Amino acid sequence: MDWASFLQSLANGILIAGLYAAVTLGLTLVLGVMGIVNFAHGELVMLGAYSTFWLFTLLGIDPMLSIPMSGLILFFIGLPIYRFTIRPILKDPPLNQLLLTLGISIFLQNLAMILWKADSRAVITSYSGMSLHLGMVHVGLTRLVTFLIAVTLTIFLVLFLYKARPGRAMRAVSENNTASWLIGINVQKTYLLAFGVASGLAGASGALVSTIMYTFPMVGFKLSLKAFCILILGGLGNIPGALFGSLILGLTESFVGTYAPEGSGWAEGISFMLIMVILIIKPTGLAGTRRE
Amino acid sequence: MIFYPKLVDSYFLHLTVATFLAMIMASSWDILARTGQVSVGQAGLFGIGAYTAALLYQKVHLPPVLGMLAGAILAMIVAIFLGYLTLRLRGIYFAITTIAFAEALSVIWLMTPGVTGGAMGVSTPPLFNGNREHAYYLILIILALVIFVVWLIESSRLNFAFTAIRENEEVANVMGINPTRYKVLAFMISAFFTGFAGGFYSHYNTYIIPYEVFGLGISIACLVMPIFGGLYTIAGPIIGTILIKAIEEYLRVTFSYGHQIAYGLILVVVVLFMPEGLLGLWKRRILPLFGRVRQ
Amino acid sequence: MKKKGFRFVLGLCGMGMILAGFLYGGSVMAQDTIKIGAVLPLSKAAFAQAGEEQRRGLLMALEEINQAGGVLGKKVELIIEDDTGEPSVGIAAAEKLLTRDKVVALIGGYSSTITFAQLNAIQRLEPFVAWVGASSTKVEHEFGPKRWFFHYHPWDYHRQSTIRDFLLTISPRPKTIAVAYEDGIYGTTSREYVVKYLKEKGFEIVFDERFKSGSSDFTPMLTKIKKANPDVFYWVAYAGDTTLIMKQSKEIDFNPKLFLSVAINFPQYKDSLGATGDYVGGVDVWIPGMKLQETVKWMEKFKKAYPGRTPEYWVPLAYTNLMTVVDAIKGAGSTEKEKLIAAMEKTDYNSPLGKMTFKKSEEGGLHQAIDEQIITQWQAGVSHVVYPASKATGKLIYPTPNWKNR
Repeated sequence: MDWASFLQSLANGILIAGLYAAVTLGLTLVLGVMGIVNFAHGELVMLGAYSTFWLFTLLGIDPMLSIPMSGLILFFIGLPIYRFTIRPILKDPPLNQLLLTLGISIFLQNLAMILWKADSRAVITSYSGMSLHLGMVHVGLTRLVTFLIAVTLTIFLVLFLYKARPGRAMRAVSENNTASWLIGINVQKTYLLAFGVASGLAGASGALVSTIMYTFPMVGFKLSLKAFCILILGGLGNIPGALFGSLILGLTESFVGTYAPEGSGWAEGISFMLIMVILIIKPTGLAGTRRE
Repeated sequence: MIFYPKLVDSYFLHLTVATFLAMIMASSWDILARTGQVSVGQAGLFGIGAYTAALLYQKVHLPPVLGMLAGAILAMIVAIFLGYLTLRLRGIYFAITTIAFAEALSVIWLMTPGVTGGAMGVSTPPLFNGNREHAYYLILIILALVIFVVWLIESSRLNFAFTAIRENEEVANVMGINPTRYKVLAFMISAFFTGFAGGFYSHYNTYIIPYEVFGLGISIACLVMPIFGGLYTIAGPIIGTILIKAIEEYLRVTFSYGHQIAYGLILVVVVLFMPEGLLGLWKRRILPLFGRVRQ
Repeated sequence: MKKKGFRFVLGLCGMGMILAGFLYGGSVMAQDTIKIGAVLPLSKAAFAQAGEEQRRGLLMALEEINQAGGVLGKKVELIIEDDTGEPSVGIAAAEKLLTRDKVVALIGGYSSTITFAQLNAIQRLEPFVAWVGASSTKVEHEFGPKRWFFHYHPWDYHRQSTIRDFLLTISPRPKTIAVAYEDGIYGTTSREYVVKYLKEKGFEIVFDERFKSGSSDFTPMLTKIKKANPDVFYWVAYAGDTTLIMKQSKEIDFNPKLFLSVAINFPQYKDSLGATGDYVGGVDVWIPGMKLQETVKWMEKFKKAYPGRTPEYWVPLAYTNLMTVVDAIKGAGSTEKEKLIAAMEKTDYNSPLGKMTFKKSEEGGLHQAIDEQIITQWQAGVSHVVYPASKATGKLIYPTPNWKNR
């Protein structure tokens, strides 16, 4: 038994799961609170990655520092998006919601192409490529930090949802918005805030993406698909489920990549095949849902 | 329409053929949409049709038109299986599954070059030896066929069934309409024509690769056109296609990149302001100005 | 009702066609210029950079030509069409240029797939084509033997034969190679030839796998390769993947004696990788640092036209493309096709990439411009030519120092 390979694969899987989880958090929040699957979430992540890139290139701000900054920028971008495009269709059939967010997604992808061209951009710092050696396993420093930050973001989100007033309002609204309205919660404002927070999370995870991967207009789309896979794996609209799903996806990709013949080719397709298999077997996702 | 090829040059004829092909795909998508299911993975069926025709030609020299037919039938069979497995899913999940379906096919295709030609793609000699007029007539016939089928659906009991399922599936069920069966039927018909379009595409363009025929761009194009023109109508997908192709060509010549941004804008604008597409806009806003309302 | 509905819809189609016809029908004015048409990928993400670079090269040449008075007493008009990365649009663009704009030559090109579709569609017209793009031998087999087809870009096997010849010059000779390639045509054809050529010469291939272009995580694959302990790690990928592969190789402390790839001289290489990119070798068509006289002169012109940019080989290649075509027109004294073909065959032009003449190529091509490539290696942030000796500007550093010792 080749322990070195096994442990390395395990480590890789866990680390990438951290990134996936960060990306999926915002999507989960919007789905849980408003019941909308935001097809454009990946593009918000992409914008976060670009904002980190430009902050770094133009102002020399270290990507680690710009995580909160990108998060804030995207928070403020998310608000008008909600107000002008999402709010009008909250009561529409899911078909319309799908088409609308899909339209926003296409629009943002192409906007990025027009503004910044299609070349991939990388954020390189003095510590890119450094790695820690823990016994038989090499852990990239950037990846490790990303993982830790993703965990931090999750903890913040959970604290926010359980301790902070607006957060608890969001939870109330997600359970029953009529009852919430009846007891005086401003449902519209809660939705607005939730979307903003979700966008902020997307922006922050975009910053992480720009350090681990590279930035280009389509990076959001690829991540979206993985996020959908995680949603379906872990249950829609609940956070532990999202974490669980991220872990499964990350580990599966990593192990298939290492052990399957021609694994690296198949690994990228894992997310799609998982989606199909799971939905076919259990149409409401593996861990059940909050809505529906 | 019959004498059309004699009137225009081959560049324009090519554009027309491409447009007709798009119309076929738009109308096919609309057929499934009538049951309330949104597919964002038509590329999967298109690609199956394309590869069936191309590979059958390559291996056994099957004449192109028969190859296209084979592609259509195979796409239809895949749709039956996929349909029964996934059409129980509601809107969003079905959509996500279709995206995953097309992408998964793309990956499988790339990883099995022995059977599918993999990344190298498959090439075929030019359709009808490059005689574009014949290609034009073929595509015109198929287009007419699709329109005819949609008209048939609209004037039969199927229309009632599809609409009932689309509006409220549970109620339809209670009324005795088996939703899954009708949805699969719609999917089959849609797949048949999309598959045929794929087969035609592979012979007409002489060279296909997985990235292209299973690509998301195709799936998106299939849905933007009918939505723009007007869902659940005969003329909607047609008008939507013409306008979008014209806008696209204009943008392509004027701007270097990102002209696909128009697709995104159109989707957003349509959903927010004209959910019934152009046709709906016409019927509700413009026609009444002339003092009559068409029912 | 049926007939009425039918006619209504078909009538709509007709109206639509006429409408569309007006949109593109009327714009071409009759001018007294020599028209040349180019089809480039300008809007598809993966190809757009090369398309842009070609456009810059073409515009540079165009300005020079027209400032010197044009050719045959007339100005040259360059019409550039975008193929958007789709074969059917590529076909439409080529057809439009040939049948509507009546260009005397069709130039440019990039993707092998689109090229194949385009040439299939227009070959009945037997147009004069001086094509920069396409490296797939599929194109060579089918169209190489056509007398009206002139081709510049090296074919796939040229890259790999250069690699083989280069590896044979290293001493001590490396024995084991790991090959990884992106799953598109680019990677697959390259891998086919490299495996063939290297096996013929006794190299042992210890790893041979494809990966999905655009993956975010190569560590599983790199871990496997590290285990196989190859002397040389050879991979074929686009810019983005290459960046990640190098970064992640460093992360897992993977130390082959040589990192070897294909496209490592793209403009963002240095910015993206910094010191991590050192010691990497790659096969290429041309780099700005080549010491040919023509290269130096041309780089001056380039710096004036596009200050602050670093060109990839597409720029001088496209520049050469237009220059040689216009030279052929001059030499033929006319734009008549047969005379053009004859004049083009006599091309002998000192381009920034070296001497340009058209010769036969190995798998059926009649008119091939470039058949020799170079190997470069990044050393301390500068890309040096290390092979062939006749063009070298530096010496190969082999074996590569371990990551810890850098």
